[in-house]
Amino acid sequence: MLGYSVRRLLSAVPVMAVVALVVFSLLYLTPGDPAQVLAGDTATPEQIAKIRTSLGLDEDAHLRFARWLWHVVQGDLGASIFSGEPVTHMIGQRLQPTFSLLLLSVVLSVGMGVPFGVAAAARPGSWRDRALTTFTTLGFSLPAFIAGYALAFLFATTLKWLPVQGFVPLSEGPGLWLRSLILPAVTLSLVYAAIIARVTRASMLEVLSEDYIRTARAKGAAPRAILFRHALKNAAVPVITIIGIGVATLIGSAVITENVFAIPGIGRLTVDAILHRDYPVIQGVVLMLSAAYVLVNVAVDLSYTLLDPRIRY
Amino acid sequence: MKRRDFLKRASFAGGALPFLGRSTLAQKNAAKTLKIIHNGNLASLDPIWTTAPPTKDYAFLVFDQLLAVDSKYMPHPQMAEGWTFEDDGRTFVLGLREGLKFHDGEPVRSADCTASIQRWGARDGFGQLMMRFVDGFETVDDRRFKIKLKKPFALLPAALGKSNSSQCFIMPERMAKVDPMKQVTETIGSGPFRFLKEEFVSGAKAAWAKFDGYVPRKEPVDSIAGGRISAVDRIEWSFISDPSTAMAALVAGEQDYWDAPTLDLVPVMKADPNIIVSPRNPTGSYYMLQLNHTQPPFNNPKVRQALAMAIDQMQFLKSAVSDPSLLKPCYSYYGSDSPYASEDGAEIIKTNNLEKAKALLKEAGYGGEKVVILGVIENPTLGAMAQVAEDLLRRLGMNVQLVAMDFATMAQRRTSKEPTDKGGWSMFVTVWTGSDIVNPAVHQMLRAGGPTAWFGWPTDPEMEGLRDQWANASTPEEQKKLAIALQAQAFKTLPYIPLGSLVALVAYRKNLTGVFPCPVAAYWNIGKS
Repeated sequence: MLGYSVRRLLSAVPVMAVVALVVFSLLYLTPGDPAQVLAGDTATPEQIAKIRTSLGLDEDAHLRFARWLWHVVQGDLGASIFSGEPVTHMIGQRLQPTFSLLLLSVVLSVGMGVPFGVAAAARPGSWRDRALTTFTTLGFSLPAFIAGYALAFLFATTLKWLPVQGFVPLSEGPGLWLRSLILPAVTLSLVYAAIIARVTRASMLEVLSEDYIRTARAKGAAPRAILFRHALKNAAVPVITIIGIGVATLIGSAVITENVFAIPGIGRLTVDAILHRDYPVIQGVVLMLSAAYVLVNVAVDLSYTLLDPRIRY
Repeated sequence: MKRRDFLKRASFAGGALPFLGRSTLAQKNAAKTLKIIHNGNLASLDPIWTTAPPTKDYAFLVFDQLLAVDSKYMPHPQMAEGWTFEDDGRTFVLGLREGLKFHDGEPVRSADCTASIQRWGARDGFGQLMMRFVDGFETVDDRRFKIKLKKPFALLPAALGKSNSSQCFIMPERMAKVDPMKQVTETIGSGPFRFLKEEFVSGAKAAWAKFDGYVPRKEPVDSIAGGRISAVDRIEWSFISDPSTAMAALVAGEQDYWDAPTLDLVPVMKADPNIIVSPRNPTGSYYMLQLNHTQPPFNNPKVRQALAMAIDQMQFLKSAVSDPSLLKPCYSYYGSDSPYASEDGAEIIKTNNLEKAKALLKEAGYGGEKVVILGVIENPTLGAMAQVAEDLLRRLGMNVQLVAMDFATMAQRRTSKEPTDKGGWSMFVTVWTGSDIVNPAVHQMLRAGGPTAWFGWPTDPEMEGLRDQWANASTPEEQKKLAIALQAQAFKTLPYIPLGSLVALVAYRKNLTGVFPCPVAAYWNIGKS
């Protein structure tokens, strides 16, 4: 197990190196000049050229890549072209809002999706099952920006129960922190709760038709015990897979939600960096996100062994 | 748990939501904090290094100016006690007010001022023009210094006190000695508010605290001149990129002030009795159709004239906003509040006749050369106007391609002097504030020095000559005559085509006090009742 974990983590290194190369190449090919944006409209071509030189943007691409990679290996992601701040510091400032949003969204998605799926599978064709179908269809169909605006209009603008926008750090109080995250987390979790509910239902239905479930029923086991102790654990592998994929996808979806609720997270940092062609920030964020994807996948793979003893690496 | 019990508990939890985490301390602090929704991303903290508007707005809180212009663009003392010209206008002497301090407690000295002027003069257009007249700087004592001039330069006070683009902000000498091509890393100024660097999250949040050591002038505020009074203890900027969210935050009272509301949301905000929507910047935003003079077809003066004859400014303005009170045609190369505003020579852009334009285009020998329009679609107004331009050119019978892109891509592509089929361009729509086009020194787009001119690179030695004469003129009357002559010549050369102006609005909560007309986003004097 430990050997497998180490092997999986080591195998991520070349993946991330390829990601770094691809991102760097794409940025190099993308039109747009940060020196122009920096210099402003009143700058002369000579001034723009000086800025480009001072930023090292006039050097050959392979030299820039080699230098950047060398610094990355030493843990230095460089500094923002615009603010001059270290990229690691900028990412650090944005981690808490994004991580908080993701954590709450995952909790809500799993907290809603798994019980819905189990309840629907327990009585296929019942009103609960039909309600689940309605919920999942809604969850799939509502884009985050529509759901976000609708929730903000209802709970923030009209009822004034929750804030419209912004993020309050945990250090300012768990209540304020939670208040600032409820609407964006619900927005973000709607679609994933729907997916998880669907997968849970399908997986549970399959397991509930197995012989050992019939045996458990025959020997008089309680319905709740059958559902949760016997069926859910065995139906969990595909659910865990979909949760893992969901966590990875949530990172991408957070961009829209962070924008709608003005949460200063990684998503907004990425969009701003792309619009300004702030290359070091884009490279740093993409590298960090690809590392997060790899870690999530490793965690999902390892969790299989805990749920199903037959799975061994 | 029974279903009824669950619902009972859930409704209790819902009822508790409004009170979740609210504290009396937070409410108390809110009364002293001015919360501003800022549209731009504050990235750099050096107003000399970049001309990005958010950096300028940041700098007006942190730094102070020696002089500052009023609403008629007349310079007044700000940090200065006063100034005089001596030696037949060849020496400018300035004395500082008593008690000026930087945020680190150090006094503001003459050496700080002369170093700051030189750093600004190396980067800013008006500053560079001024430095062509400067022979040297001389420190008389800690509160007085001289600027020695090669020849009289009557516009020197206007340059030091200008409100547009890059201003001459005063920094401590150690900061001002930093290479102007590199960013300063400190945020120490002598302005009314201290920047709270430890709270700064680039692109997300910025905060300032009232600087207790600041001594404002006694005169009433008038544009950027007059007393800069800290009317709140703290100012916070939030960068909210989504307009609907920004509006909702203002309506809900989470924010107090929105510096650039989206025009299509204005009717919603006007309907709210707690919100005031008003034009704070009296000069407005001026839209322009910039032409590439180095490539066909707009290297042909007659093609440029034909296009100018076809322009209907109202069509362009209405594409951005339907409310007629927010748009204003402008048949001048200067802003409507400029001392040089006039319509001399503007007949050609008042023609508004497609048939006449077509006839002139034919006479010009237009041979179907492709016109590439760079359309900045991320900006709704610039994007809409680019589409109107595309339609107009098609109706004129021109071969047009509108290329949609973001600003960063446009900013790079507009530097290309190549033909359109090799990555070049023919035109783009751009926007400047009224204070950016107030006089020939600050007006980048009225430059016609070919390679040294703004993108489009128009060449007209006569325009350049008139600018030099204006810079050397000794009286306001003479300056006005020459500035208007420059405009008349520009309407012959057509470095760009004016498209009119839109009123720049701000929206704020009714409990704000002291919001005054200003061409920049200045937040001093604004308090909360």
